[in-house]
Amino acid sequence: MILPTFELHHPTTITELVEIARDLTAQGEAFDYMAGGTDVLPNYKNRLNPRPHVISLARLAGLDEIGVDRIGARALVDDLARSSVLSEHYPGLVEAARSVSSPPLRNLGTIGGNLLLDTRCWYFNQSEFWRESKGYCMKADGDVCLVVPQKEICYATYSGDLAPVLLVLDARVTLVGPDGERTVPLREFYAFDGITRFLKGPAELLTAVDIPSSSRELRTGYRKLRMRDTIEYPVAGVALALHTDGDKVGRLEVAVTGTEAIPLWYGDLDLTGQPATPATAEALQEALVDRVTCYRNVPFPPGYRKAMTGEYARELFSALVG
Amino acid sequence: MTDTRYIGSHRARPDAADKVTGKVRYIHDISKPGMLYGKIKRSEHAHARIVSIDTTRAERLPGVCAVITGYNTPPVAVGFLRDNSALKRDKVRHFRDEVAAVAAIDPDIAAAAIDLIEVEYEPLPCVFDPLEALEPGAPLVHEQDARGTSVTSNLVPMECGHDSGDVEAARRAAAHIVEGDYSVPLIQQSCLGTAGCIAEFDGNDNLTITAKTQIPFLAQRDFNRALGEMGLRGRNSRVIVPALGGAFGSGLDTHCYEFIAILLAHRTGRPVKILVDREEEFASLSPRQSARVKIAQGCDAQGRLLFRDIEVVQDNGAYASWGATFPTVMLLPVTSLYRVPNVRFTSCIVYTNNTYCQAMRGYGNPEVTWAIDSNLDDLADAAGIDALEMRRINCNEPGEVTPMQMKISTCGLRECLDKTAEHLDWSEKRGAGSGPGQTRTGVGMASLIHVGGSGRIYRSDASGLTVKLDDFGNVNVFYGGVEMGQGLHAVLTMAVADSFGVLPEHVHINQTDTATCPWDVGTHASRGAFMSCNAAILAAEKVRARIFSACEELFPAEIDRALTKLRRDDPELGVPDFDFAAASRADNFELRDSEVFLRDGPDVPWARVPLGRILRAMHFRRDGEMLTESVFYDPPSDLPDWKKGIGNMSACYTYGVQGVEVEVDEDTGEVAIKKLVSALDVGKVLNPPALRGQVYGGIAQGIGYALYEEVKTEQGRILNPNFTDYKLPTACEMDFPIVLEFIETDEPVGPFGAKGAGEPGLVPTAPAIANAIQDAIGVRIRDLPITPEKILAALAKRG
Repeated sequence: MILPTFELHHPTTITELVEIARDLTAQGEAFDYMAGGTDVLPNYKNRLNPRPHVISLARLAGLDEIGVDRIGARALVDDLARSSVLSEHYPGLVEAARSVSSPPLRNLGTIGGNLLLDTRCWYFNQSEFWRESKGYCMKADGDVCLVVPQKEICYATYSGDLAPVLLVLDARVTLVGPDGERTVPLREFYAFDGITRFLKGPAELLTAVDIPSSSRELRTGYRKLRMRDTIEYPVAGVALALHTDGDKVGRLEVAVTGTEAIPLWYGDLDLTGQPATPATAEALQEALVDRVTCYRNVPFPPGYRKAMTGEYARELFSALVG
Repeated sequence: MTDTRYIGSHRARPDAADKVTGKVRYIHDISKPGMLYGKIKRSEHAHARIVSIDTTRAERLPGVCAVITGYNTPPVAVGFLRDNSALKRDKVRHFRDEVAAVAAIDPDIAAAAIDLIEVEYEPLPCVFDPLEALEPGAPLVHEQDARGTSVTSNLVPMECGHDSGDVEAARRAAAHIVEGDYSVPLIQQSCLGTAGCIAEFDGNDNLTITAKTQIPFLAQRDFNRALGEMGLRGRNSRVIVPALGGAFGSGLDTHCYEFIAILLAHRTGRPVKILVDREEEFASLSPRQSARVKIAQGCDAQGRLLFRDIEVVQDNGAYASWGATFPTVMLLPVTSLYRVPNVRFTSCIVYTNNTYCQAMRGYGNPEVTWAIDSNLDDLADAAGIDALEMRRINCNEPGEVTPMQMKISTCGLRECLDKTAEHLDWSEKRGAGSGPGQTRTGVGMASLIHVGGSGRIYRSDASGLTVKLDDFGNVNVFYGGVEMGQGLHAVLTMAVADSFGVLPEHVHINQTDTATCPWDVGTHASRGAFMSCNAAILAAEKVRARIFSACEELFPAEIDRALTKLRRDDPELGVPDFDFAAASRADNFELRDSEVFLRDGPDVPWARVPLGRILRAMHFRRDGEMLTESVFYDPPSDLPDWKKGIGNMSACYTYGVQGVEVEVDEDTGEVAIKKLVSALDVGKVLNPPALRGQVYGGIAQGIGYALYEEVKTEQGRILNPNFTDYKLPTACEMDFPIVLEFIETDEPVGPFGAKGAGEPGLVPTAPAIANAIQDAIGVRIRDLPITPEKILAALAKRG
């Protein structure tokens, strides 16, 4: 498939980038930022919300550091997967990075792009011809949701692997834009529905991910449901972070991806003080299955995906207790 | 024939260097001066009346050279039942239906023009389920047949069945009977090289079409008929086959896009290329159909099979292509896999508003072997007999004549069973149960029979082959079959080298072209190697006889000339006392490694004459001759009576067994293959790397069929027309040991003893996996693909 026409901008500094974004915004011109392009370009080819301007991050310097506290937004997913620092402190993040797509795409895709990954749906990720023939959905060119027609929001599925791990690690993201810089907790970053997805303004650029030092006490793990072992989005993925206090649960954080329109952190799953035993793992499993909702718009039926989030949480809990 | 020195050896494929260096020209790489790009406007409804088509805006778009519809072109009928047409008039019957097409100076303009064509439809009630389509009052996909006669049902008029012995009596006599309902999904051939063609007319209205096809000569017949329908009766079409990036049956029929390219080329007077993209390949070319198989098998107390009763319902989709003839190949395993005296087979193929289906590797065989070999394990359980022992008890044997009247010459099934059991540690592992943690391990196996000596499904099942030897000792081969990645040219090169007695580097297999190659029915039914190599052997006999006959006169003179030259350099040269003139009798010559010599002649280098020298001597003499020979090999088989399901459809039969060890996670339902064994009776291994490639590829497709692949549809619309959402197995899914065993039974009618082996790799994989899963966790999955949620659901039911 052939790309639509767009104007490509190549800023070399953040200042220049912000200038371009400000100018385009002032002119009322829509644009996308593009780092690896592994998500943006296939969508453009399918005419899924292409913009007349694309601001490439390819010639920016920096923003690709990987440290225990801070990861630059342009750090490659493959570099995360191979990082010894991350492997030592946040093995769950490394597992998640390793499970992203395939080696060629991990070599292009960035942590920022993965966090901002567009949502996916049977009715959205199709060619222009297909969508026209079926009738457009609200996420591109239409005004109804074809998954849950009676609702007024989009039910496309969030399919990033890194977000749930960064949610359990209580990461914060830094956004830079024409109105300056701000930092937002990831747990408050994702919101609304499958179209708006997060609080980032259209001109804001995600530049860094910060992990608080308090998260270093946590043991992390990630497991995703997929049909094959490569080139697969998660259709249910669970990240767990656990700190044990003696033989009891000191702190337990759970987040899920691949189920709803945004990745979800389950802050109300309070198992603090419970014994770190298989019975607690089963309680966690049950509680999670109760909370998770899935829709019939990606591979695997919703019931199985729901069941697997619970199953994976149980397995991860047992593995992290060790 | 000479001794084999290349057959059975490891040699690089002749097409390997071009393929790995990117020099091969697929249809995508070919262009012609002045070429236009065609694009097709397809239906937006599964079933609707066409009210109007407005092409005026498309016609006005600069760069558009032609816009055609069914209303401004002659009707061109498509398909062996003539129930389809290149461009639809009046009504569309599924989403892929072609309603208009454009030719433009570039692909973007063609795509833009397509969007400017406005079609108004009146939607009609649809039917997507074949059983619902059979019910009274169901919407009719076709109201008339090709002759214009009204029809009252959605049944495709194809009769294929079998009834031998007395199934009812056998059922009453059986000690154990097991029944089951099985299903297989719609799947795609998934060629990496998508389809396409370039059509062009010369000034005399003769057509040349470069097309992705496995049947160049049947395609020529179809295209010639289309020329007639276009008012060009008597004009010819020439079909040229470019390098193919896989076919797997997808090139077994002619397609609407080819006829549309022909119509556009004729309308514009310029070459027109139509390429099919991946989405169109999924949605608009013909996949393997879904089917439901109802089976009952019964045995006596000793486990001897008494009867097999099978009913198949196939979803044909909206038009008939070769998918509608799958039951003809289903007859093979139904009547002849394991010895079973009483067999009944009924099949029905139903029109629906789904995409229409056609050939894919195995052609009906995997669909029913899935049911037969899964059900056999359950029958063995019911009879309290080990599943391997059950297969041994009912094993086919050489010399057997099966209920279909198939004459089994060679049969290595028993050895295949034994080898598979040995590599799987069957006696240790079968029924042994538990793996680590919540996992359970199991082993299972399944067998196969397939045509090994081509399959006669057409009046002629022949293959022609022409050889043209030149002044330099080259053997130029013109064969009408198609190299589509399977290694045909590799094996044919070796067969020519061995049967002629020439060096493989002197063998050149030329591009398949109906203008230069003799007739061939097509490359299908695992017949490429069997047919082409048998034809090569026939050609070799003729060529060698002519060379040796000419040598009676030419050889002594060539020896004299060689000796004269040698003596000039070395006057002391010792020459054995041998009368070359007297020994030069045709029956005393041998040709090996491109040198002619006397069988009883002295063993000195100068007594061997290079073939090129002999060929030049034949050429440059009074009444000289060039050596060209054509042969036409028709295998010893019969065209079956399909209604009765009787006839020896192949010259010989290939048997095989696959065994699998699996690990099943009872908490998640996930299946991991730990080991796979394939034992295949191929008669003789011709080209070891090509054969292994065929079997490995077949196994990968078999695993896809068993565990992953399914074209998902919603009201006839394909939901996963891409390789992100259609799950082909990747290298990660093939990360387990595969043991290949080839049993050589030396088939008398096979070239060098070989039988066909192109398709069998995928036939028994799914039932072998299902049987291993059953062994591991005690649940029987009857619907492909075996996904984790089906396993969990079955486990929940088991309790």
